[in-house]
Formats: sequence, structure tokens, C-alpha cells
Amino acid sequence: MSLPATEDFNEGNGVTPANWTEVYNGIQCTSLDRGKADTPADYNIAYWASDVFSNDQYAQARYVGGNGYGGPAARVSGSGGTRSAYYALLGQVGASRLSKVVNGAITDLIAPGGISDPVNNDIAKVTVEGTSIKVYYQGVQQGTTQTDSSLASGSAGVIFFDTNTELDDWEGGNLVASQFARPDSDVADGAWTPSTGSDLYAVVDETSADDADYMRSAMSPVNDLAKLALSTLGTPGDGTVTLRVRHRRAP
Amino acid sequence: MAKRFYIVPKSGDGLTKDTAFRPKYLDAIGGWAAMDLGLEPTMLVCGEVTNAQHTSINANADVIAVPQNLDTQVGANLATVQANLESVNIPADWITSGMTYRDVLRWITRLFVFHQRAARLIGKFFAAGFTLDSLIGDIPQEKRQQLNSVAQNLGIDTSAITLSTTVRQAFRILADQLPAAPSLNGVQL
Repeated sequence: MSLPATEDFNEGNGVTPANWTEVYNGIQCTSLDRGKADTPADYNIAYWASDVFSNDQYAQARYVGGNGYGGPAARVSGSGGTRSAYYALLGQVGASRLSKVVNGAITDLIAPGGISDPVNNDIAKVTVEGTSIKVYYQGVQQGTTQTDSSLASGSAGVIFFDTNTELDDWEGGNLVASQFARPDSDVADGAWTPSTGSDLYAVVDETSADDADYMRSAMSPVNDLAKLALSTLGTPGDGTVTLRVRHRRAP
Repeated sequence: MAKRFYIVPKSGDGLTKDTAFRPKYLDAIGGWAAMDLGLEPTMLVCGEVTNAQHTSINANADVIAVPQNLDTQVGANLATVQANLESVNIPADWITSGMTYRDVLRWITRLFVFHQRAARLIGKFFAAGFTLDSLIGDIPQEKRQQLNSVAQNLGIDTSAITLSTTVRQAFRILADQLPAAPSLNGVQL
């Protein structure tokens, strides 16, 4: 399979969805094709097991209400007593929060109520990048950015505290930083010349805008085709690739 | 209301969502974000409190309250600051009177980051009888190797740490190489 991973919880009422590993208690599909906990009044944690996630990852899900607690989880790992994860524990009684569980020990990182409660159908998302953890609803950050280094790796997943909260449209994936492609060799010079040295790419490969060196064409370069190769980029995933070109005409 | 920093004991037992580890005294007030010192019984918290709440929190003997203006120099409070921090196993002999409280907090978050990562592998660091003045050589070999693994995992150069290095010296070497938390509860450090 490939990331981002998605889960619609449509495998039948009471069925544990395929592709998931249950870390502590478990999860199941409902008759309304939503996800919920197996076990009432206790933690239920599971992660997507059919893909390997990078350390910088996200998990998100549509919050569909109920009077309990649940939410997306990131860097989920372990089993039983070694269960570990960062997660948004979301409810509708003014006590939503950001927490972690490390080897079964739960610590609240942002106070209950420190994150506003989601409204039904909000897409709630947890991101972990390095030691930086954030919670979003509908793409808008909730609460403040938290720093924690307890968990270095794991998988995207989900957590419920009880059977009264349901989630749907779960998605987990990798966070990919913006990538920048830069010229790294000359393919064809055309009639262009570098302002210094002999390589065109070397005068336009700066990491920030700099007019000190440049490549120059004849007065009318309409048929002067210079070709430069670009540096290798990683697979973008859900990130972006940026290529910036600046040009200036002589007066 | 103002956002203020405290170093406080943990409350709770960490066993359920309702008894999660949280910062003592601030837990009842809300509006906080906190970092834990791994499995040590200590948290750094930034809470939004009224003057009356601050007075109440600060009246507790196990609370270390940081001045509201983080850019104030430690100055004449140097000895008190050092003693308070060392009482919760945070090395403080490196602090000088010319440093600001923001400088001090920034370094403390580095130490917290190390403890957090280490705790998952080695558990609680400060066993009975173990202090900041204990030697690295006093740590059982297996635990020492696990600590070294944690440091390497975090990209830390441990070549300056030997068996005769004290724990306080080692923590300084380790934490100095880690990035500080950029902020806590929205307050930039």
C-alpha cells in the first residue's frame, strides 16, 4: 500500500478493520461505517500497520461526536504495557487536550481545555515533526506548539478512551518538507555565457537570491536555448517542490 | 492574567486519562502547557494565572516560580536559583548572575528533552542515593550503554564524557548540544 493511508471503517458492524495493529484494547467499525473503541472506560489504541511511516508524520480523522474522548494519534508503537503515542484527546465537555502515553504512563502536555473542543465533522489532525507536536482542526492550529522528545518513531493511528466517541475518514501519512531544486550541471549552453567561470549552472545555483553572478544572453535570445539540469529531489508525497527563476533585462 | 513559568512536582499517577501526570497546583487552574523531566517527578509548566493564583501557587514550598519578566537578570538571586534547581536534580553551577531567566529556562528545556528521550529506554534516572555529583562510572554498565545510545540517537557527541565525569558535567555536555524548546504555551524562549 502507499501513503497517505486511509480508513473508512466500512468493513461491517463490530469488525476490527484490516490493516491495523491493536496496541492496547482495540478498535472496531460501527453500523454507520465509523470507527470506535472496543472497550469502554479504558484506553483503546491502534495504528495503521500496512505501511511504514517516517518519523515526521500526521494522523487525522473526522470527529463525529459522542460524549466521550477520542482522536488521532501519531508515533504509535508498543503493545500492552509498552503502549506509546502522542495524541489529541478530543471531547465536547471543555476538556480536549494534547497528551502522550509512554510505556503506558500518561502525561498531559496541554491542559484539559487547553485545546478547544471540535465540532462535529471537524477534521482533527495531529502532526509530529522532530520534537514539535501540533493539533489542527480544519487546518487551523489549536492550542500551542508543544515540544517533546519522548517518542522518536512509530506509526500513525487512533486512540479512544471509551465507546462513546466515533471517528471517520481517518488518514495517516508522512510530513514532507518543501523541497527546492537547483541547477547542478549544464546540459546545453546555447549562446548564453556565465558572468564568471565557465559553467552556467554555477552562477545561478545560489540558495537565496543573489545578482552578484548571473548568466547572460545576446540582445535577442529568442533562439538561444540554454538547458540546465536540476538537482535530484525526493518523492514529494504530499509536500511541494519549488523552482524559482528570476530574470532581468539590460536597459 | 499573565503567563508565568514554574517548576513544580508532578501530580497524578499516569494510569488513566483522569489521573494523567500533570503539573501540581497548576492542574486545578488549567490553561497550561508543560514539559516533563522524563520520569523524574518534576515538570516545567507555563500557566496563565491571575496575581492571586500566582501568590497561592508560589506559597508552596515545592514550587520554583520564575519571574514574570524572563529578561530579568538572575543577579543577586543567583545562589537561590542554583539551590532551587539543584534540589530537583537540574544542574545549575553553570548559571551566572548576568544571565537572564530566559537564558536559564532555555537551557533547562534542553535538559528536559534529553531526559524525555532517555526515560523511555532507561526509566527513572535518579535512583536512590544517586545525585548530580555521582560519577558516570557509578552508573551500571548496561544503563550507561543505554544512555550512550540515547545520546547518539539524538546526535550528541559524547567523546568528552568519561567514567570520571560527574553526572552534572555530563548533563551539561549532553544538553548543550540539543536545541532548546522554541516556546512553551506560546511564550517564546
